[in-house]
Amino acid sequence: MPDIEKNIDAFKAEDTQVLSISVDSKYCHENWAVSIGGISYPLLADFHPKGAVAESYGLYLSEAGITDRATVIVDKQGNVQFVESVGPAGLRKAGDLLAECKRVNAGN
Amino acid sequence: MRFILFTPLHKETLMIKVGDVAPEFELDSQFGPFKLSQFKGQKNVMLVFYPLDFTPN
Repeated sequence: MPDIEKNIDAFKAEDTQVLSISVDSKYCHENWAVSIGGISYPLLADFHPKGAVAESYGLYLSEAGITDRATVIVDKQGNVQFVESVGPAGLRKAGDLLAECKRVNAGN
Repeated sequence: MRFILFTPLHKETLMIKVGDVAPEFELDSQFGPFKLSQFKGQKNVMLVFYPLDFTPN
């Protein structure tokens, strides 16, 4: 998350809005954002009913009660152009995701 | 002898795939509510799903 925050202007330059999503409440999101020095993009609360949006993307891990660590890029028409799951304990690479956003934006 | 190093967590539904229409949603955030459809025709959207706050990325 801090890695994406550091590169947020580069994502904006690719006409890309970053939205992050977990099952935490917005109050938890607010405290976490403050604790890591602020996050400029929305932290969405998939809190009630728990994980319903993640479930609609097939990314809710119901037995664990958490969301998978996964990234979905949606183009301006509302179609999915990229999907990657790194698993709950995996790590994302902001640079790789930025390259995917460039590709999607160039295709629009 | 076999060792299971990692058992993927069970998923009940299939993961979304390239070419699918992204399901609409409206959720609250630290900045107020957002809908996916509010960006249609204007911005690409990168959805960053993660397990819990206070985890790495």
